[in-house]
Amino acid sequence: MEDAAETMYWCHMCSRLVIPVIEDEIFKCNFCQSGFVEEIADTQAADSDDQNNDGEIDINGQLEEIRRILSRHSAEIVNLAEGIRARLLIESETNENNIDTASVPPVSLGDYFIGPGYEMLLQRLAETDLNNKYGTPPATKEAVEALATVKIDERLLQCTVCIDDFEIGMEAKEMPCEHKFHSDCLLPWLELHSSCPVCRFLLSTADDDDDEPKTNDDNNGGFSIASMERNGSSPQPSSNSSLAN
Amino acid sequence: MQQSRARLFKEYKEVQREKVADPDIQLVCDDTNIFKWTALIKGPSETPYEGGVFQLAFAVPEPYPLQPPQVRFLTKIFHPNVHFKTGEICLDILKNAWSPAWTLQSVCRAIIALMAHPEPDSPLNCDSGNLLRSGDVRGFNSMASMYTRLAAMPKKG
Repeated sequence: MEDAAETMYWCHMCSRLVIPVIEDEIFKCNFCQSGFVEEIADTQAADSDDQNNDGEIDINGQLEEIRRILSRHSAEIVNLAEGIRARLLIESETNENNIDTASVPPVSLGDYFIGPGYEMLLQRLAETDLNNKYGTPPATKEAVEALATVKIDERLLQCTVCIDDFEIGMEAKEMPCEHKFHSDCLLPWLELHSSCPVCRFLLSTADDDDDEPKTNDDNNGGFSIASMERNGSSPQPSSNSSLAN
Repeated sequence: MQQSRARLFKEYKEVQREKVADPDIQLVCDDTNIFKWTALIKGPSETPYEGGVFQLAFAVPEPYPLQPPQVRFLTKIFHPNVHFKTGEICLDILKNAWSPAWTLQSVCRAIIALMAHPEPDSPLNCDSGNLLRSGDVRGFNSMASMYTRLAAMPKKG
């Protein structure tokens, strides 16, 4: 046990600092009994670079990561922040349990974040995510009213919103990109978003009047199916803008 | 509400027909709740997920298809864009790029495509993303296939 008092061990199964049990020269976690225990650098060594690599809280690294991710991805940051909080709880628990052995980390993120400020941060990040999540802004009333109503004259044409087949002679709303939908299917969507459900052709939105042109390219996902479509054969908003009139 | 039910029922019938057409996807609707689905998808070939079968859980919101379904992996998977603990998936079409033309079936296809083409620059699983970003494809493949074996393949014996 003398060893364990000087050296820190990290259990990769429990994701926490542990005091390993040594059986037949095999280190086992004292909580889950697994052997996935790693010796981490002596904290007394005070080599901060080493600590960064060894599961210690590295505040600069984490803040850097927060900053980096924030610019792209707010869903993740909530996750990250939750992760940091969970880890702080584990750390504090560990410190309580092993008050003699585990040395207290030099700086804790909790000093900065726990309390109302931290909650507010989480809250704000969650709200930012909501805005991101819903994609394009609603289409303007004028643009929706200007949509043509057409009679279906093709066989085997489907409204992709309700996946029902159109019947010949039925009335449908047609987007400038010539994609057709039931009026009851298309209009609720255009109240939320300006894009064609099939090809993402953009109707004009209230945001178009803003000084700052908004792009529709804020990639919120790991793999952009949308951008693949845009690069593919689907009609492009720009090439189709003449049809809008 | 009525619209989403009608649409999901259509998808249910479609799924019954497509079963043969796409052997990589098996979509099953909950017996008592049409807003809860599960899917079994096969790991794409020539990826570390090959040979694995991964379970997805779908929670369909009432405004569907105006809003995307919530999908997560129930099977543990080591992938940059899937949260290792919660199974949450980072995929644009499930968030800001959703369109009502997507179906549960096509969402499954998109997830299979994501498995074959990880996007390490927006990682939910940083360890996995960092391996790829540092160019350690071998390390990534080894970890991903280890977890495929551990979690996505039937236990032997």
